[in-house]
Amino acid sequence: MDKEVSEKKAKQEKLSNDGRSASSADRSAHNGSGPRRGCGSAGRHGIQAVATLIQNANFKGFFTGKIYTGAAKKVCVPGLNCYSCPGAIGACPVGSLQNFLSGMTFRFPYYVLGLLIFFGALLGRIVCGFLCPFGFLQDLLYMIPFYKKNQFKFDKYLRYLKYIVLLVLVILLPLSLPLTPAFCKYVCPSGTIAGIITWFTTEFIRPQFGWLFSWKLIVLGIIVVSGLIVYRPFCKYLCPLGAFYGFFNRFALVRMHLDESACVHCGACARSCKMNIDPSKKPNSMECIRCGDCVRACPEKALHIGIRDHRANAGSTATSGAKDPAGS
Amino acid sequence: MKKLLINKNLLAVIVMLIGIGLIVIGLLSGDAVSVLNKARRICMECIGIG
Ligand code: SF4
Ligand code: SF4
Ligand code: SF4
Repeated sequence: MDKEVSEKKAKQEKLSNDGRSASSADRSAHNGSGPRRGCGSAGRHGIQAVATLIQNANFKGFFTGKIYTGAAKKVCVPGLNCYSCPGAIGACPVGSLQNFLSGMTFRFPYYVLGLLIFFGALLGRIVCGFLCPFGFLQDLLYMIPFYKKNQFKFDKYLRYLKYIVLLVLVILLPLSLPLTPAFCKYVCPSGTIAGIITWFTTEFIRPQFGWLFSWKLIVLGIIVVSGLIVYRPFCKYLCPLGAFYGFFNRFALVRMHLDESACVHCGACARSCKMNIDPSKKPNSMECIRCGDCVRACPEKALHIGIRDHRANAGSTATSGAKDPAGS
Repeated sequence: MKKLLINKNLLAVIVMLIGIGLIVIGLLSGDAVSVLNKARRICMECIGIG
């Protein structure tokens, strides 16, 4: 036992003192050239691209401006993808939810809420890391070489904004003002992109674009420019869907497992995380989008994303977030 | 710790079943058709016309 402890201490010292070791793990996690474990970041981006294409498979709509009207639109997709986009073949869950709440007569959104709960309990924010088209777009934006400042003073406080957006713009305002899907109308950047495509493809609709469109363009512009500097600012600070799925991260069927006996607290995982989480302390933080960068960065293979813990059968001490008091 | 893991998986499965239950209730009360009716028309609020 003593031997085990001293071995672990030695490893920890080696890893935390050897700047090269930590930073190379950090670098490899960012450029995707690190030790290949599971799905590498290139593999993740491939899955994101395929998910985006599938959810927007009405390709001719991008040229004609006509939206898809088939039966597949009965199904809500898991991520943020506007149903008014000419390419979309599914319905947006946030738009559909507001539509139920803001109807002239209130109807409880059993179906939409059921789908969201199902996706959340099964995958948690894996939806954000792998399936959401707007998340993918932000990943691409952050790859563009530009001034980067992913950590700043108010980051911690701004993260609460998305819960306010969920409560006020997605639930309370649509409930109190009939026919006002407030999030779609005033914020949603996915809808604005659909608007831009419609503007280019449908001439007769152009004169109707006015001050609201200008406002939404400003919001989209801020999100795009800040997305060059900060990793996924919309996901971190504004997205009501990310806020909702975050509640499931602690117990979702597919979640992160930390093998505490293997972890040497070198901090490589925390340094690799662009969502600014320390998964060795909070493996199932509500902010974690399950990108897997930390899993690849860990030199001890102490982290794992899956249904079962990778070392549960080896008799080691594994946790899936038991020490995460706030879950965030 | 293993017990905690199983309990969390059980919780996830129970919540997934609740989700499926809500989906079924929604389907029986015509929610999917309402979703389709909204999604097959361009939403003016979404694209910024209002
Ligand atoms: S937080 Fe929202 S926009 Fe970001 S990936 Fe998740 S669902 Fe998509
Ligand atoms: S889990 Fe994090 S702190 Fe622990 S060994 Fe792995 S990289 Fe280091
Ligand atoms: S903690 Fe989550 S968001 Fe951060 S690197 Fe790991 S998987 Fe990605």
